[in-house]
Amino acid sequence: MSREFNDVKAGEDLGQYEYRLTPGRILKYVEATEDDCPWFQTESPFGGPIAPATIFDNDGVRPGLVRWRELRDKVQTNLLHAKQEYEFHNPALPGKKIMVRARFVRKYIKGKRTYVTYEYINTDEDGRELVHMRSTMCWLTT
Amino acid sequence: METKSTQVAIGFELTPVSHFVTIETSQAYSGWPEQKNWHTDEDVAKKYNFPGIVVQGNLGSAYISQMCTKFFGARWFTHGRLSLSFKKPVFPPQCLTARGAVRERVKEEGGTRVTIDVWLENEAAEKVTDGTASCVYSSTNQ
Repeated sequence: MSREFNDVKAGEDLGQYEYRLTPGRILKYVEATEDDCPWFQTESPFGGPIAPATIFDNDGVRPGLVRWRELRDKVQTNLLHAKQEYEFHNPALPGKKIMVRARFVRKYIKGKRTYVTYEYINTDEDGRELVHMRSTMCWLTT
Repeated sequence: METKSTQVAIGFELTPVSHFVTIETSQAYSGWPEQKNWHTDEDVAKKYNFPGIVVQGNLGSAYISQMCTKFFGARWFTHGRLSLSFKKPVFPPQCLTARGAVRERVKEEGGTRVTIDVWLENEAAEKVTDGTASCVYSSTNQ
């Protein structure tokens, strides 16, 4: 079993960071996912445009989460994304500052494979919780 | 755009969402050219013994969420839950189709939770991702 896996502690803080959710970032995501829903570019039931629900998919692997990045870089060859969970609480609005914070919640062994689950929560500058996500990565042992 | 989700029969099949995924699609979703990894760079993918670029699992999550947005409507952004397992790797070019079928409706305090089985199929009709999606409707807007 890798030393890095042994180092992971449930509850361990993975770091936090913030960024601006620009209209350009939303457009880039909409184009990449070929999403034809008009709510993301014009009007939505929430008033103005909103962002797609899953737009924060990759926030859990961005360099801002320093501790996670440090571990991920060490085991890059053996990390596979096994599961992804979301709870959506509020739509994300263009122009708002987004705060991302994350922590490890669980690690376990199934068969010959080891898994780590971490959660990340995104809130906006108004304190609204937008989405609560959990990612489980298969951490293959050698 | 919203289906009367609380009124559909168990087993009702959602309108599928299909996308043709190319190498360029995978690169656009995974942050090329800033990000060079097995989702964006063929040389990196081959270094890790993949036949070519591996599509990021969460691109499929976005497709499933598109289907859920069409089915559940605005409440997907405030009461939606999505839980997915990634079963098989996807190598472009490949047509991926998000599908879903209503599994159950359960009354909860103040509303009804509608749960659907969701999955993502490749061109061989193999499930590359599967899981569940659900959303709660208040008793006043059913």
